[in-house]
Amino acid sequence: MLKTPGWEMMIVWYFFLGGIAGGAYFTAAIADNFGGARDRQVARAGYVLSLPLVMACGVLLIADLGVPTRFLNMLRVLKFWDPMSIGAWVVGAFGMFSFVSSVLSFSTSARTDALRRKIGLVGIFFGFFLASYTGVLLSSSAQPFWSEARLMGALFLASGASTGMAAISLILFLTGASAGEGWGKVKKADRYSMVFELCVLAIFLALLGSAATPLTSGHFAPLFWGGLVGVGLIVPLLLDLVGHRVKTLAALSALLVLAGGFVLRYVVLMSIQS
Amino acid sequence: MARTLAMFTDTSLCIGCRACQVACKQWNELGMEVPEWTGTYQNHEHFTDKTFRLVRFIEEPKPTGDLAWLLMSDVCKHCAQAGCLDACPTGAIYRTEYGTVNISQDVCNGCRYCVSSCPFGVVAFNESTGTATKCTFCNDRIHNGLGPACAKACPTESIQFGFRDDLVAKAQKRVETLKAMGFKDAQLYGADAKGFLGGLNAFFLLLSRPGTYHLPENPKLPQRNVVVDSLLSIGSALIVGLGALLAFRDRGKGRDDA
Amino acid sequence: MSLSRRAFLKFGSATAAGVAVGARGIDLAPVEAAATSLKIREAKAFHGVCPYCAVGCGQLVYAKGDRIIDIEGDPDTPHTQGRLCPKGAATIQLSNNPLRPTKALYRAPGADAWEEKPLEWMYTEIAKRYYDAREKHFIEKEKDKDGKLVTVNRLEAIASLGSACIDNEECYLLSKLNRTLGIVYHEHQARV
Repeated sequence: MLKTPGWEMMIVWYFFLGGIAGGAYFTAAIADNFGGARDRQVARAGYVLSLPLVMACGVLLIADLGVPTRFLNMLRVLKFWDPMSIGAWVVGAFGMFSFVSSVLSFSTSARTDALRRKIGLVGIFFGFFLASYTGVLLSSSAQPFWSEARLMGALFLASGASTGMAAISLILFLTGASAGEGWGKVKKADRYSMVFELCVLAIFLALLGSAATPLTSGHFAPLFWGGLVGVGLIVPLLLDLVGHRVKTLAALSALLVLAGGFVLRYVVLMSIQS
Repeated sequence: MARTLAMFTDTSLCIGCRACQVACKQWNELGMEVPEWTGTYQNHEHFTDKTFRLVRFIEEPKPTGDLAWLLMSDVCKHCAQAGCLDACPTGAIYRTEYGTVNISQDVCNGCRYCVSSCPFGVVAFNESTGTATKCTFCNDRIHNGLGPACAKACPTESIQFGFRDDLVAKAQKRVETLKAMGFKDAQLYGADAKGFLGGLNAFFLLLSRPGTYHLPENPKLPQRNVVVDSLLSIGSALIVGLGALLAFRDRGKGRDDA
Repeated sequence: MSLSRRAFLKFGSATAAGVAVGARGIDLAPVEAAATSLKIREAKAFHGVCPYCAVGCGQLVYAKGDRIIDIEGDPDTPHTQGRLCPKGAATIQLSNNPLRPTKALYRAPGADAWEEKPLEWMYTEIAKRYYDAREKHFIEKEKDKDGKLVTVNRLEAIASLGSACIDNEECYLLSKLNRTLGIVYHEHQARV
C-alpha cells in the first residue's frame, strides 16, 4: 500500500554522477594533501572532473523536481535530520569547493598550492557526504528494502570511491598521463575501494536477508549479480591483476567499474519502483 | 497551541456508502478519476492526488467459512510524528496549530521525498501541478469554525470530528461496548499518544487486526534510521579514506605500485 | 468548551464573522493571524432540498453571483443534521458539470443515430407531439356496460412516469397537467 516516489532515470544518473564527483574530489584531496608532488596530476584530474559532474548533478536534480522553478525553496530551511535537506545544501557547498579547487589546481605558486590543500582538506568531508548521503536518503524512507538497508549509505560511499577513482584513472589514461606514478597509486586506491565495496556489499546483503529479494532474485537479479557483482567488481579486480603491465586492460577495468557503479544505482532505485 | 483536533473513524459503524469520499472530492474540488475494477466494491484502489478519503472494502475469511465484510474509511492519519513532514526539504509540509499536517501547495517543489516517506502511502504526487498532495484535514474549514467535509457528510457518524482527548475517551468506551457485544478483535489504531508515531490525529476503531485493513501493524518513523546509517557511512568513509591514504602516502622515492 | 455537532457544521451567511463562529465552535483566538480563506465566506447561502430521493434532506446551497460554489447538508434539518448520502453530496454536479449535455439529442423514428438539436426545438416538438397524440387518440365519450354513451374525456395514448427527483410543487403541477390532458396512466417511479 506504500507509494514509491517515482525517482527514475534522472535520479539514477544523479546518484551515479554525484558518487563519482564526491569520490573523485576526496581522492584528489587526499592525493593532494598526503601524496607526493607527482600525484599532482591525480589531484588536478579529480578536482577538475568533479566540477562538471556536480554541475550536471545540480541540473539533474532541478530538472527532476515537479516544479523546477521552485528549487530554491530547498534553501529556505535546513533540517539536519533530513538527508534531502542537508543534501541540497551540500550539493551547493560541494559545488563551490569543487570550483575553487579546480581553479587552484592550475596554480603554480606555492602559496596557492598550500591554500588549495587546506581547502581540499575541508572539501573532503563534503565529498564523502555527497557520495554517501544519497544512500542514507533512501534508507530513511518508508519503503521496504530501502528502509531496511542499514548499509545503503556505506555502500554508496564505497561505490562512489571506486567509481571516482576509476574515473580519475580513466582520465589519466586518456590524457596520456598514465605513465606517471599517480596512475599506479590511483589504481591501487581503486582496488582497495573495490575490495571494500565487495565486503560492504556482502554485509549489506547478509544484514538485509530476505528484504534484499528485489535485488537478489527476480527481474533485477541478473543485472545485480552479473552487472554489479560480476562485471562491475570481480572482473575489474581480476583485470587489475595484470593491469599494471597492460595499461589498456587497466583502463578497461576502470570502465567496467564505472558501469558497475551505474548498475548499482539503477538496480537499487528501480527494483522497487517498477 | 490550540487543542489538538482529530478525526475518529469508527469502522464498526461504516456502511460503505462513500459519502465521505464524495463530500471530500466535492469540497476540495478534486475531480474525477476513471474507476478501475479491483474485484471488490472498493473504488479507487488507493489514495491518489484526486482521492484523499477512500472507503476500503475488505473481505476477511472467518473461521466459520463465511466472509466478514469490513468497511473502513481511510484517510491521511495526520501523525503526531509525521514522516512526510520530517522529510520535506522545503518546509512546505507543516503542522498546524490544531496538530494536523498540511502541504503548502505554493511552496512544495515536487521532490517527492514525502511520497516515499509516508508509512501509510497517503501522500501522492500530482503530475499536473508538480506538487505533493494529501488530505488537508479541510484546513480551510477547520480554520473557519467548520468541521471537515467528510465528517460532516458521514450519515452514520462513523467519522467523528472533535478534540482529540474527547474523541479518544469516546473511542475507548466504544471498544468496550463492542467487546461486550462479542467483537473480540475490536481495537483502536493510533489512539494511543504513547504508541507508534506519537499517536495518529486521525485514528481508527478496527474490528480486526490492522494488517487486515492493509495498515502496518507497527508503523515507524522513517527518519529513525538517519543517525545509525550516517554513522555507518562515516565509518565507511574512514575506511575508504584510510585506503586512499595508504595508496597515496608519499614514501619518498619508493615505487609502491603493487 | 466542547464541540457541538451543529456548531461546527454550519457556516451560514449570518455567522460569517469569524468571532461569532469562534464563540460557538472552535476557539479561534490563537489562529486569527493564520486564518485561511474559506471559499464560501462571501457566498450567499440558500436553503434547498436534495433533488434526488424521497427522503428530502435539507441542503445549504452556497452561491457567488449566479454560480453555485458549494452544496452541503443543512445541519438545521432535523432528520439529517447536515448529513448527506454520496449522491446528495455530489448535488453540485447538477449545476457545475462540464460533462452534462446542453443540447437535446434526438433520434427520429427508424433512424439509427442520434442528432443534436437545440433545446428550444425539443420543447416545441414535445408540445406538438402531445397535441397531435391527444387530437388523434382523445376519447371523449364511451359506451358503458349497458350500452349507454357516457362522457369520459380520456387519453390512453400517453403515459406519464414521475420520478423521485420531483419535488412536491413539481408533482402538483405534473398531476394537474396530466389530469387536464386526460392522461390516465399517471405513474410514479417509486410505485412501479
